[in-house]
Amino acid sequence: MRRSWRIGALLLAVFALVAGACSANTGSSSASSSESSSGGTFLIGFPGDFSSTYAFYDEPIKEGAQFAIDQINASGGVLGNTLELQALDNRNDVAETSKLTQQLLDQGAKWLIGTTGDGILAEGSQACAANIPVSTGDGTAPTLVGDMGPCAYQLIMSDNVQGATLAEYAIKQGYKTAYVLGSTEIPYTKNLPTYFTKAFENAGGTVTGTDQFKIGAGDYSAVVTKIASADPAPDAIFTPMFVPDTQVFLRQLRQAGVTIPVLSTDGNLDPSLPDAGAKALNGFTFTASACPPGPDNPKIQQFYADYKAKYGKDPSSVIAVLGYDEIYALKSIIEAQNSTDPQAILAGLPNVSYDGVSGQIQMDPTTRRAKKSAWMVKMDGASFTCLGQPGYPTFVPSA
Amino acid sequence: MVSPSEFAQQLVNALSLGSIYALLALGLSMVYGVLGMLNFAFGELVTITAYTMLFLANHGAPFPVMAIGGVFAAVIASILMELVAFRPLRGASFVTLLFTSFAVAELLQNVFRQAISSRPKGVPVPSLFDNAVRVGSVRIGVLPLITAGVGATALVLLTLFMRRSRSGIAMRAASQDFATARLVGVRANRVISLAFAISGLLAGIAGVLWISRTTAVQPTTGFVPILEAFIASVIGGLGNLRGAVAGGFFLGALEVFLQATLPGKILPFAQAVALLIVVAILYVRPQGLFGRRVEAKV
Amino acid sequence: MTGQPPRPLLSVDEITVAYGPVTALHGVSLQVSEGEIVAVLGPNGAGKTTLLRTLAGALRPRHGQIWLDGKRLDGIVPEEAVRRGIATVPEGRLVFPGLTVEENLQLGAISRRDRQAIRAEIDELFSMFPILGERRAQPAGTLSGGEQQQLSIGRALMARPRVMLLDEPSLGLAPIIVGQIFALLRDLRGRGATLLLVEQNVHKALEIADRAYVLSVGRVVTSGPARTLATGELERMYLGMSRAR
Ligand SMILES: Nc1ncnc2c1ncn2[C@@H]1O[C@H](COP(=O)(O)OP(=O)(O)OP(=O)(O)O)[C@@H](O)[C@H]1O
Ligand SMILES: [Mg+2]
Repeated sequence: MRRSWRIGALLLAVFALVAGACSANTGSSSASSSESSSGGTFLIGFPGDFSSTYAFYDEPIKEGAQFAIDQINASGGVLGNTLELQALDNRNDVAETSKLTQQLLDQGAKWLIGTTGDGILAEGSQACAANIPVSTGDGTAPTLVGDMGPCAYQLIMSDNVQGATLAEYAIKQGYKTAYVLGSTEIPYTKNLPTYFTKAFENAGGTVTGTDQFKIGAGDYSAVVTKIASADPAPDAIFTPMFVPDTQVFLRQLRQAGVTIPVLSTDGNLDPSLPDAGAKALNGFTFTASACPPGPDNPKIQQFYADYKAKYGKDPSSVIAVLGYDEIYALKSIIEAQNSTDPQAILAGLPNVSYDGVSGQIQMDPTTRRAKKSAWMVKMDGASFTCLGQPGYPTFVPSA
Repeated sequence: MVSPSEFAQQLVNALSLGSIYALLALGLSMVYGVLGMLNFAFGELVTITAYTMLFLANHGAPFPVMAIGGVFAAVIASILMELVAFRPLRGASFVTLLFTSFAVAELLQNVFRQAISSRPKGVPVPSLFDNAVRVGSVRIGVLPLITAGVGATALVLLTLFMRRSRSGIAMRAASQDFATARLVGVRANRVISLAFAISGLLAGIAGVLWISRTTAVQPTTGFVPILEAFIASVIGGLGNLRGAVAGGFFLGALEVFLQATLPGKILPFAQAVALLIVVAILYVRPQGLFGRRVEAKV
Repeated sequence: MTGQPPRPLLSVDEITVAYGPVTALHGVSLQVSEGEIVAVLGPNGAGKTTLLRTLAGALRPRHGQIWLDGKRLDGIVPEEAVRRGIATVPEGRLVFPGLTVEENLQLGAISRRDRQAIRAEIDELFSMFPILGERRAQPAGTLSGGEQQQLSIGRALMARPRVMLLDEPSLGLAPIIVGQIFALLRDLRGRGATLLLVEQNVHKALEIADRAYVLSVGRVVTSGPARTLATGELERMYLGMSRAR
């Protein structure tokens, strides 16, 4: 997922001024430089955020990508080429991202992984200017590829798919009416309610109430009281809220005696969620790019086992499988095109079809977004349980 | 239309939210009153409370220990903040101190980010907080009840302290006229430390209540508390302690009732509307809604 | 009474005090003995307030020394000066308007630890100033000017000072009130208080003072027993210096 934090303009502007003096992070590269063996080296660049707001997403992407690269190199590379990952920290700074992207392009990077951070559009436009393929990384907004440029592709689930998947799920559960709670503050919370509403209404559902929440407010009692007083009560509530707001909302909702099921999106697959307690969480259902490892999803469980066998620890989150799948999808393109030339890769990208750990990546050449199914997670008490991948929705609203 | 029971419910919401804002505004105003400085690192005291609670929870401490530990940490952190960052700048201009407090806030957030995590961390709270009691047609959560109760108790005790104790009188004198208070024998360093200690205490109590509601902490957790505290204390008249409390409750009520009554299309602008109302208030009454006009000193 | 000149309780030795580039006192010296009332006179801007503020620790002399009962006093902070025995009745009274009369008096005793005695002394003060007793629970800001001056003096007394510094206690008060204030000072002297009194009301000041110093543009221009100074000489110094109040 991708979002940007609400900015209290005044204060943060001043913070930022002062921050210059304080910020001590320097770009740390964590690339494993293995010199080219028989063939050449295929350089993959990742100007990601590994130290700031979006490190939670970019760090596991990096881990998964590195894991795939190590595996591929160990079994002879791709077309005799050794893969190499250059991951540089952009500290969620747009200018820094731009600088690092240029640096990576100058070094001869033939593939760029998109950052989840604010510099994604800069990264995209620079990659496309150089005609080098770039992914959206862990960015789920369906509008990203259009905004980044013609060389950008989304290899993961898109937000309109999340909305559509949840709408289908709601109908299947027999929910006929829904209350939709969004926030116009950022695209993620602004667009998802629209995607859900379109898909839900398309399938015959009715949105009986809408409201706005403030991201990071720390209190949703007024919103909750309005929902509790909604007459007639809706069958379900949809909101693209994410942690740590979800905890506040769900607890206040259940305290108010509202037992209506709540549907939400991928910002909730987070280790901080369970502390909201079983009372608030039980039954809470949301979509995700991948499920946490468990017996119901043997591929992901196997991924975790292999990862741990190699590195002696778990990846920092399940998002690592997305980085892993991206590299293997890239490998499949290179092999299909029988070339490591970026232009050949760009030519092969629209037809990529790869069955990854996180599901089937089937590129739609017209939208440049993979038709990739969402996973669904349901809280059983305070623990995550995987509902698997319900399949690509029959109706997906346009971006 | 808002039904009577919905109205009553929103009133409870406003009171509960207002009591946290009142504690926060009071904590910010306390230091402003004595030193004439706005401590924007005040929000980080809430964050420190939360991380301390998390740390204690990870070590198996029961909730009361987490709460007391969290408050204690905020008090110590507040006193240290003054000693280390602000005392060397005693007598510096308002702007210098303001920027220093921004720097302290930013520094602490970086420390949290590097040393702990930039992601939210869950803080376990008793499941009792999720219960609710029914009063007529109104359902009142246990947590809002506790919040209002703790808030009111803290405000009453603080008022007693400020009215009855020698230190309280000294603090009030210092906030009216610092130089003269020193001439009378009030120890500057002690009264400033005390102001920061009480400010920390209030941040800590508000922090425990805040975290009991959010069950999560992240480096930016202090942002909303400091923002609300700032707005509430400006509404109440900066440095005016009674005004800060009134401003806190006013702001809580304003936010809840705007959310409750504004039509859907305008809701995204609720915050802007709230700020507009605040600016309008300040335009009419620059000394705040509850502040007395300060006599110019000769 | 031994007939020997008593050792001065407060001794100011050649102090120079400046506000940034503006030097307000140039090598001023003076002495105050135990039980004395010493007046400091001089036109506006002479440096009288500066002198008192320096003695009270609010300003630091650039040069020179201040001694109280054989101990160095210069360079200490105001709250420490109070603990050493210097209490101030500041110019413009400066009671704490938002505190009650009683709280103002309690605050005067903030440097003391003997709480029981403090209670008793506040009651004693209320019998000395009955009007303050009546208004004990009233915010000091609601008192009249004269009442505030009484309160300011009472507050200084609560510190049990060895020397009390008064900066123009008659300023801005009606003549009848001025009379009351001076009667009060005389009364204090009768109780053995040591007072350093800054005044522009030359006649009244010289009436009750033992000795006086005259400051002008930051220097002591004359000093001596009050009686000798209370001649035409001093009047001439003030001649033409209209008091713009
Ligand atoms: N804070 C200050 N900064 C700069 N100069 C000052 C300050 N306070 C006083 N002065 C200057 O120091 C000199 C002495 O001032 P001071 O207030 O001591 O005089 P004063 O004898 O008390 O006068 P008055 O009778 O008007 O009270 C004056 O020239 C005055 O302008
Ligand atoms: Mg003067």
